[in-house]
Amino acid sequence: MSGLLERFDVRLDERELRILLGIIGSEPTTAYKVAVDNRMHFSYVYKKLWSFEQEGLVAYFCEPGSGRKLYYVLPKGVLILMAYEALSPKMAADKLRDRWNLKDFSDDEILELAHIFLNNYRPGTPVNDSVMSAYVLYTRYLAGELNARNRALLNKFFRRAFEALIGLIGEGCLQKCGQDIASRDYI
Amino acid sequence: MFVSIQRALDKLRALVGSRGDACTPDSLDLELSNGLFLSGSVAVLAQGGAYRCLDVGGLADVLRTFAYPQTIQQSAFKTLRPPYVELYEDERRYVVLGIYDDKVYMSEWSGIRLCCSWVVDIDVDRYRRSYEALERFLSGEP
Repeated sequence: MSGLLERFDVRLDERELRILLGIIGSEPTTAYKVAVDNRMHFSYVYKKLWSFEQEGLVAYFCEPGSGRKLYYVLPKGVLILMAYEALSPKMAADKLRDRWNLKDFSDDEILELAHIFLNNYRPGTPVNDSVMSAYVLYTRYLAGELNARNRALLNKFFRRAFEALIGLIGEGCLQKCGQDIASRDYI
Repeated sequence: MFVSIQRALDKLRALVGSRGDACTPDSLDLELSNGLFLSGSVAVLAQGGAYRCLDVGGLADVLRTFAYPQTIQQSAFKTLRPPYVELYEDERRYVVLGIYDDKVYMSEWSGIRLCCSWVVDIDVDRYRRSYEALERFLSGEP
């Protein structure tokens, strides 16, 4: 575990873990609720949330109407909690499936993908973006540096990423190339 | 007319460290910053597995005034009037409370750019009293 956390270059103390777990357990949530639930002063919680934002562990959106800032945990935050063994596999799989938009992936597939990310993580890997992450993993595979055995899973992941990328160009483009993307083996 | 919560907490930490007695607190109600707590009207400092306690009287309630500001409603930019209470500050961002139209507002700034502004649920009279108490605490003898 310490090796993984070293690669992530993120160290959380017991309070920070409590805050991050508090967010993931009731997300999207406000700094006010995090402060109340953890009995921590707002200024202290705000400081922690800001550092989490900087490290790419959480993000927020403003609630329409009230404008309240609602925080949620990003994939990197989920992976960090997994590295600390602070999260149930079911919750980790649910959160990552949602954040990476991999709706047709099973829990086992998501968790295996998470372990591929954890085992192959390098500083700067854009784990919060599944398409960019797929690109990085694919280039590392082409360079012979990818430490992963499950080719079927990676093929599925790369296909989803290419579909998402082509989808950006346009629905027509995706329809034209969709069959080719779906049938191709990337590794 | 401006006080910083962080400065107040730094001063309180130093005060409890130098004048507090060794103790075993019953409960820790509120964590103010790393290892600095409130237990009723007592400020508690955790240091290497031991605790030091100092009864700070009404200052505990003052610090609680700003502990859980709940945003009620987002607001367009308002030029807030003093007194100001700064909740957070670093080289890139700061969060400050101030008054407009007899309501307490919280504004979040990123450099010179206003990010957001909200009405918060702090009573304006309590806000003024708490500000004055904090100012007295910060300007008093350490």
